[in-house]
Amino acid sequence: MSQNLTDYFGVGVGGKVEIYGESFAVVGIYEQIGQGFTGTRTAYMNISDAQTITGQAGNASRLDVYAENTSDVDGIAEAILAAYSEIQVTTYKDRLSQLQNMQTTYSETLTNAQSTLSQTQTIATQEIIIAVVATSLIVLFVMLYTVRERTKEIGTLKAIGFSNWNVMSQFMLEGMLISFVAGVVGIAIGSVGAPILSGLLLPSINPSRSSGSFQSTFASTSPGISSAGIATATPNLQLMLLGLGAAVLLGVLGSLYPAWRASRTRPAEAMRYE
Amino acid sequence: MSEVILKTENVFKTYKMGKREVPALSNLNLQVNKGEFVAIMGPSGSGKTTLLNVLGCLDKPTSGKVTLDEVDVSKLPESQLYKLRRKKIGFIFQTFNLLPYLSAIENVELPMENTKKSKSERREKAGKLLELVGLAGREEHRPQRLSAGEQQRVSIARALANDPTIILADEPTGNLDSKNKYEIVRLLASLNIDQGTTVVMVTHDSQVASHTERVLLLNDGQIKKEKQGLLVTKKKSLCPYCGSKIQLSDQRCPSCKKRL
Repeated sequence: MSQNLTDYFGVGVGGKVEIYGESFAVVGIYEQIGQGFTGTRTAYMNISDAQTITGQAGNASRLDVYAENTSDVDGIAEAILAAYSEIQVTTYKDRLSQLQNMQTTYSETLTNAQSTLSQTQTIATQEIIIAVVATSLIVLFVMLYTVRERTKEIGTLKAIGFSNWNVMSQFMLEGMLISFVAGVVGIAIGSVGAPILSGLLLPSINPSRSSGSFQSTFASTSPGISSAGIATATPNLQLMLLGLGAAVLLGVLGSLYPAWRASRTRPAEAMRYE
Repeated sequence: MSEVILKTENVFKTYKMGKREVPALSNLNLQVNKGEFVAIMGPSGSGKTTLLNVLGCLDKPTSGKVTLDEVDVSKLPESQLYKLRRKKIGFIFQTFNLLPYLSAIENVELPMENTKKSKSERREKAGKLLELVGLAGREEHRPQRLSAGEQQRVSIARALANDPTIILADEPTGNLDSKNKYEIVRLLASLNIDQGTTVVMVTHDSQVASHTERVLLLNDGQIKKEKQGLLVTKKKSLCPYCGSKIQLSDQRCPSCKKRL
């Protein structure tokens, strides 16, 4: 009797256990072999006793045949199949190919998941580049417009003694501050919106979908794959700070030229009256 | 008394309009003494604003020499000129040119922003100047909550912030009604009398111009005529109309009742 079974019954060698209503004496305990997670609980007994208590006189559910030499396996299997056409014969080779199939499917699923992920990453990278370019252009145009609108003010500042550098740093600071505030607002919207949006969008790029029916088989055995099914976008502090930093940087980048333009304003513009 | 503070010698200024060259100032010579209140008058297009730009180091003359406080400013680069404007010149504009998002006192502090003065010194000075121009208690008001006359007072206080050698005013009464007009001229005159501030004012209003010491008539980019203003007799505490004794603070002559 396997050790986990004697542990279950709480008996040792010579103890008595009841199977199918019949009492049996334990004559030996064998240790668990291999690392089966459920552990096979096995009791060996005389075949006639087993047939009697299960009411299957003259029947067997399985026969294990051991060959003396591996090269004989195929021949023996064929011979058995020829003699008993109604039974199913499985050799270790069949089981091996079954295992190999499992492995192939598994790695295919992994590759699928990875390519979906890298596709998403490519799209994300493209979107980031577009966002960066668009943002700096927006800052540029807004600041250029501001500078144009405030020509007279800038002229006045220069007339009352502001240097080119004073004016330039003033506008740089302004662009930076506006971008900073915009960044904070963006993060606030992102923190609230990302979990909601990811709930709506992420299932469509979920890699576990592509693995189809096989997922059910693997769900219990490989937690790495099944957990992909519950991916969500959650805000993270590091990413937020990075976003804020990027916003300020873009603000500086976008205001560089407008601020320079502002600094070149002629002080005589202060005297212009429209 | 007759120390020359501002002087132009053979100043020419021409603008390029496409391929044509338009002369704005041609061989202009003038002198302003320390403590003087001078008005420059002339029809539009006579070169008034151009002259003020050149005098105020906002623009360089095409040729000629401009001397401000014994420094030839006509050849200085912008990297020097802004310091000169900050320290030596106070500007007053026709449209006030106050920053709309700053309070009255902050506007007055603005020229002191890049000086060695500390924040509290700046605030104190700005407060005193607002009091001087009659705006005590309105320090925190934004320009749009002040009347036109009050806004021009703020800009006068701003012009005085760095104790300039000279005040240049471009049509300071151009956007004001007649009551405010005289109050502003009176304020400039009292600054001129009490503080000894030199003032050069450009105007096309002969009434306003007559309340100064000396009126220069500008035409075709040249000083064509020069006449004495009413302030000369007023400075001697005499009514310019009837010659009787007056106080400088009088709004009207006590004997002939004319507006001073």
